[in-house]
Amino acid sequence: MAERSPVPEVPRAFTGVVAGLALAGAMYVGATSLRGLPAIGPLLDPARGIWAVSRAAELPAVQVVALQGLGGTVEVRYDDRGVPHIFGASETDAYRALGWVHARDRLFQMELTQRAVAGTLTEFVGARALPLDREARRQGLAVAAEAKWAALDRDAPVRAFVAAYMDGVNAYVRAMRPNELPIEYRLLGRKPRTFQPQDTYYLLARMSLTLAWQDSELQRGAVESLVGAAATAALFPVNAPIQEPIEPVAGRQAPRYTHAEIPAPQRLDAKSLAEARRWMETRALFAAEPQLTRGEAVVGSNNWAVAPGRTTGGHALLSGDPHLQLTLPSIWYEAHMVVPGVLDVYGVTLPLAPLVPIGFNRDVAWTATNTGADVLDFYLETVDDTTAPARYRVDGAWRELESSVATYEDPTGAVLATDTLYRTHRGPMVRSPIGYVSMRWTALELSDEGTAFHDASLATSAAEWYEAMANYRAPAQNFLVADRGGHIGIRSTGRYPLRPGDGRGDKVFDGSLSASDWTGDWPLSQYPTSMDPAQGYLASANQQPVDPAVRPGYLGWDWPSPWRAIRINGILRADAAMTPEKMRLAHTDPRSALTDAILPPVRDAVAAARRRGVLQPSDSAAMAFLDRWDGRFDIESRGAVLFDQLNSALTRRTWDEFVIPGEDRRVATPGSSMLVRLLQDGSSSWWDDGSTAEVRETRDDILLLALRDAWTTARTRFGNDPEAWRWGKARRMNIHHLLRLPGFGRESLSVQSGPGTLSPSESGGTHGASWRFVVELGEELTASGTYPGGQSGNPVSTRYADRVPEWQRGALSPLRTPRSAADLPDSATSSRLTLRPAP
Amino acid sequence: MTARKFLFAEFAAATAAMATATWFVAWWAVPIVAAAWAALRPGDRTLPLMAAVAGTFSWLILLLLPSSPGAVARVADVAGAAMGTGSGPLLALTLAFPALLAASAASLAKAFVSRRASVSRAS
Repeated sequence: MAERSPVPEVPRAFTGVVAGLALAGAMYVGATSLRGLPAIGPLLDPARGIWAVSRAAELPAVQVVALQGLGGTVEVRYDDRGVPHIFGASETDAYRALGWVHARDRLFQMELTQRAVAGTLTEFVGARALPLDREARRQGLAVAAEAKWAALDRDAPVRAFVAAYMDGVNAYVRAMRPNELPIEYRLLGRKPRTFQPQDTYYLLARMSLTLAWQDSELQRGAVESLVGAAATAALFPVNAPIQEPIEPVAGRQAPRYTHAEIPAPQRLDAKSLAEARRWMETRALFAAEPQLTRGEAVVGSNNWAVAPGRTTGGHALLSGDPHLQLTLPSIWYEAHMVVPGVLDVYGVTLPLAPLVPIGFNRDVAWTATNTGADVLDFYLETVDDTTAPARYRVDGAWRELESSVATYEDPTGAVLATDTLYRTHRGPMVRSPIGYVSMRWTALELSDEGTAFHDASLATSAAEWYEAMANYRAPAQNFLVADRGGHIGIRSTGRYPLRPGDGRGDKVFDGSLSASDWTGDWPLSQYPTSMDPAQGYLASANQQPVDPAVRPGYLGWDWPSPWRAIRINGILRADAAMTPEKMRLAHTDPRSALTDAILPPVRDAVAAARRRGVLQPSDSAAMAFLDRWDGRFDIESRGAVLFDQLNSALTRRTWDEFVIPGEDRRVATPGSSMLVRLLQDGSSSWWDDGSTAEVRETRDDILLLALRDAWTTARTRFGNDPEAWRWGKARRMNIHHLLRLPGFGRESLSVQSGPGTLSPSESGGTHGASWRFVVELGEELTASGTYPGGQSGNPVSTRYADRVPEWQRGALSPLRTPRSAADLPDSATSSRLTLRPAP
Repeated sequence: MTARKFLFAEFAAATAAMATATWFVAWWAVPIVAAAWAALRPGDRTLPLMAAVAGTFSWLILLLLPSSPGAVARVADVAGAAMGTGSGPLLALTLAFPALLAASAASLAKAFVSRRASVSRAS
């Protein structure tokens, strides 16, 4: 009898074929990248793939690392908030260590920042980033960053510090274990690049883009086309209609109101509409994503300081509250660096730079708000060939254009697109629907903010601090300083160009004339400044820095409405016994000066409608509901929900002239202070709704309609029972990840903020207080602070977003400032890192 | 040693080998180990299934041993959300993938070795 095979021949072969196909399929799927996504084999690999990030989520209790280039051992102690306290024997060592710790916690963020400025995001994330890269290359910030680095003196200390910092970054990248590669790299299937010292200047350029990109002239062109030059000049004025300046006016105890007439809008025709569209298309060429600096910005930074005579402790107090787009990881990274006898600085740093833009040392504290000055001009150029220009004309003579070809590649190196980039002597030039437009921008010109920030961090008094910052150029900031000597000061510091003619820059200049060019800069002595004012306090909130009635001069136009400045000054004026706790509470102060300006006319309109017999029951109900509101934008508030809807509806109905027919967005919106001004003129033609040709609406009509809209919208969105409305549910903050990856952000957060409050908010909820801190400059300086995020950039880490709940509550944590490694108690130490010189 | 104990020891050794190979080499080392195991035991019909379970166990060990279940769950949450799969399916895919690799490699190896044995017997 023949021996039976356990498996018949044919089925065995069949099984082998099926198994072979299954294995081949699994291997192919495991090893193949599809649509730019990483292959699932390496991605799911538990040793090196996405799961590995869990093993690098937390800081090791103790770590010793050999680091090349160190002159001596650097001790780093992470405190219980994850803040590294870096103790080195030299500044170069301290900055090298800072580079290492920045890279450990924020490597992906650093790479993304550099690439965003360089315009190389497509090489990282693919073709979807092409519009952003094109925009970045057109803006020319990378060219400027390279030039600034190249122009630094070879012996400049900051050059050595920046180089050491970037060496520290690269040392971390080189020595990184597989599980330490940030998860974003794994998801994208990428590896970190090698960082260059000039990347620090890329970061500073990015800050200029965020804070000093001023393209409103192009927007203004569209506005003029829609409503006419006279109305534009009145609604977007050079001088704010409500003056509560940064530089205090001696003896003034209240804002100064001006009441200029607002001319009627011009009649719209097809030509004007086409022109408006061309202006907006031109604007989009330079910046597809408008930045946050202009007009009725929904974000707004605040800072204020109080002299010792108005504090209970008898010491100067300083509060910083810079507002920016909120992201995870946060833009800021807290760090403390100590070099005995040389440096002892604590503050928020920006990963990619060894600088402390906001912080304090043992003697001086400093913070900033954005000045929002007009530091960018556009010029309409005349070129020799509208298709492929080689020359442009100035004063009747042709000049050669600089040109270069920008190539955009995808991650595989394939070319996605190419652009020819042009430059005139003013700066980058683009072809647009209104012609060839070049720009000149302070951010693109040589300056050395690195040295300024470094030297300022060594200052021992407010005066020294300002001296160190004398050459600071961009982005212009309202730097507020307080010192242990009891001095407080503020200076709007930056480069402010002098222009020909009337000196104004709120227009597009004729590029064919050299007479259009800047003629110089404001001298430092003319900068808006105040030191130790008699009133005993100083505050800034992005408002016009100097009252033109006191000191005229063009610094910019269309300033944000000063509701926050009015509120801060009101708080500080009313209280001569300030404490750090009161300073903290002011960060989330729930009151708004805007409500006080809007509600009385609404009340009057409702009363008038009642007299005319046209009041509907719902109007009465809505008004009664608002009358019961205490005016506070706290999260439990009900009335705030209706007021916010009313404010939106009133803005929408009033400024309908700014919507291009067929489109759903206004090309611009006059500031709310203009709306308040218009409320004083009940029969202005601006109240007329252009869509109702047979009726001419008045102010009271629009106010009543806005109230009805608000009531209806609020009931539709938040339920028919107004008692169940909650402001904290209606207005949420959303802190998205840098790439907006789902699951990486913290969304729908209730916070105490609202229109016109010190913590202004908008419906998208993406901008807010990026860092809050209070410093008391006593014998021993004490400080507290927080930011909406966490020190780690690893979304799996417990330190990724651990501060968000604290930030939501408006709470601050005490900041530890040990003088030496031994000063930080074990109970407050979460990790010990020793960096030793590598042999 | 009883047959059951021997089988368990063999299974544990294979699991450890797959985990070690993944840790020190890469994800694609799993089918190599599974194939080698099957080549040693071509007559065992259950080996592809055992290899699949060993593959899953090996990666589960690698997920949990060096970190905490909480950290793994956080990775599953964020990566699952970012990839649009959700945390559960991502975890399931991660554990199913080595099973597929190991089972198919073991089956292929078993079939290959058995066929060679048949051919050599026939000749």
